[in-house]
Amino acid sequence: MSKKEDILDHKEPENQKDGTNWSYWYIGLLGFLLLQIAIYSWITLSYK
Amino acid sequence: MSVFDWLVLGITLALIVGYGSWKTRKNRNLEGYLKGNNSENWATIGLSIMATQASAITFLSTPGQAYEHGMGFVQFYFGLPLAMVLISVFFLPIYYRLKVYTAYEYLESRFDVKVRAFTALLFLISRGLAAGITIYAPAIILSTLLGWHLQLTCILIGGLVIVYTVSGGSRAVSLTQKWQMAIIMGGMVAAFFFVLGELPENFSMMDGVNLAGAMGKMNIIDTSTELDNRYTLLSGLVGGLFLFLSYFGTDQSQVQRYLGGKSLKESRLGLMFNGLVKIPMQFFILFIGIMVFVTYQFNTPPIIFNKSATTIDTEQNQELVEIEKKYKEVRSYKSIAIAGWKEGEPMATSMLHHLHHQEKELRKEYKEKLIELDPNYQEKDSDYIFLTFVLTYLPHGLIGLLLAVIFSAAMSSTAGELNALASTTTVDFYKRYFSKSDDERKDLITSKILTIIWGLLAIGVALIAGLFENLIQLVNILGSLFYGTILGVFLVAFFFKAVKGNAALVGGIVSQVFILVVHFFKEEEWMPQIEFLYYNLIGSIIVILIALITQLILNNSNKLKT
Repeated sequence: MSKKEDILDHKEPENQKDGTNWSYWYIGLLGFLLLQIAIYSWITLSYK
Repeated sequence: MSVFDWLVLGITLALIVGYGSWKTRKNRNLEGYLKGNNSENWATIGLSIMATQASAITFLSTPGQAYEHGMGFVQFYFGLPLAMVLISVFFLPIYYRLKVYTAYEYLESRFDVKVRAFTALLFLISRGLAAGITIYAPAIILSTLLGWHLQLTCILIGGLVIVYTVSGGSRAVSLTQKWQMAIIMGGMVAAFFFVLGELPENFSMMDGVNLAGAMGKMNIIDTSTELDNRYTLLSGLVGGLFLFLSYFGTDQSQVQRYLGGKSLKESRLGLMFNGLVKIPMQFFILFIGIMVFVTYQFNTPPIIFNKSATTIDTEQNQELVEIEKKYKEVRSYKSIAIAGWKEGEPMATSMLHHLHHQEKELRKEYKEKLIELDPNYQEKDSDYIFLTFVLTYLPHGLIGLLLAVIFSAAMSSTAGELNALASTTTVDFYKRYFSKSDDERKDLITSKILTIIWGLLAIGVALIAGLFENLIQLVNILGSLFYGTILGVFLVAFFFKAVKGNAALVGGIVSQVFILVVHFFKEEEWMPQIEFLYYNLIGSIIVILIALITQLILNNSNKLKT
């Protein structure tokens, strides 16, 4: 890979690939955020 | 404070400083000093990231924020998990591939040395000032409530941090932060149970939540879209996303924490941990404030929480005494209204609202009168609420532990800041412009000297901070004044391949000037009112737009020349 491509590439470096499916982590984390917002909205509405 | 409290505080601080210095005493090279030889696991990284972000003022102010304004502040953190995902996907792999020491080093590879120096300088200005306030803010509260000598408290906090940060560098900072977080969370959990213990016997925690809800303190989500409304769902998700993207992705005090990971996987897991735990943790700290509020519905709180901050003898002033008398009268009616509310009496809730409003008005009147008598009096007393409660109601030993929590939080965030300031000065300026040799020993000594210098400067800023009236408020917005520009430059670097160095630099300068003008002229009628969380978004957009336009102009003028 040329130096130019190297500084713009967001993929994991070869020596750092670990087989983890990070998409599941990201979806899980964002799902947890939505769940929290849903719970907080429910609490807010309960006391309106 | 009793001897037992002093012992708990002293032993806790001595163990932390001793542990950090001893465990990292074998650091002999620059990589070990600045990146901890890439030895940290995800748990250390995650806790270290959280400890760097959470300063002492977080633990002092947040419960007071909930006491005064309810739980809505938690929305401020909604953008954080989104930011963790984006940093994990886009920022981390590039930092790891290029094996950088600082985030700004990447910008020289991508653009040129000017852009690197520009962003590194913005970081040094904002973080250098913030480090001083990180020390000053808890010191002023501790000295006011406990009668400690302000300057000595600043020197003690700063001095302890310098000892282990200089001796062990980045690894010492991360290792001590792990234990500091354990003390902080342990102390807050213990405080929570003691707060619950102060509720009347026939009044459960759920009763407390319902009472807080009836008094408007459980309005967590605000769906309004006005830009001058500080904590809303929109400002948290959008403004917060840009703030945290900039803070965690480009602020060296955070980048340094996860660049010390054993591998890309450990660093990513550390970020995921932060994304999972941060909002519940803030919710919990706010909830402590709500329970303090409920407890104070049964025990009359002082009319102001920072009485010792004024030199006026309030007992001798007839007007102040009169206002306080009326305040106590309203409080006595309030306990009757609460009893009615518990029995389900239909008028009790509106009665509670009415009395709460009266109470707030009397507090306001008292503060205004006090300012008339003592112009130096600072009317914002919410930062003093939690510590006043701790000192009044918590048992000896736990008071010492809670003070250790405040010191730990002040030390952990200051250490992260000093470490990052020294790294950026060493790598982005000293080694780039003055010492290009590979003399590891010389570079290591220079880095340690720079840590001491930044530490002394931070203490210096803390010592003169009292001269500037609005400095504590400024610390909250200081980051946002510069983050938008820095993040904008990084976003251009990552996603706009056609843009080159000069265009990125022009975009950065225009954005920075614009944000400073918007902020410092916000009192003027012609200036639109924009809350500081949006500065990050606006700053980033300006950098991108100006950089793209400038690049287009430069390309066209180059074509014309050829």
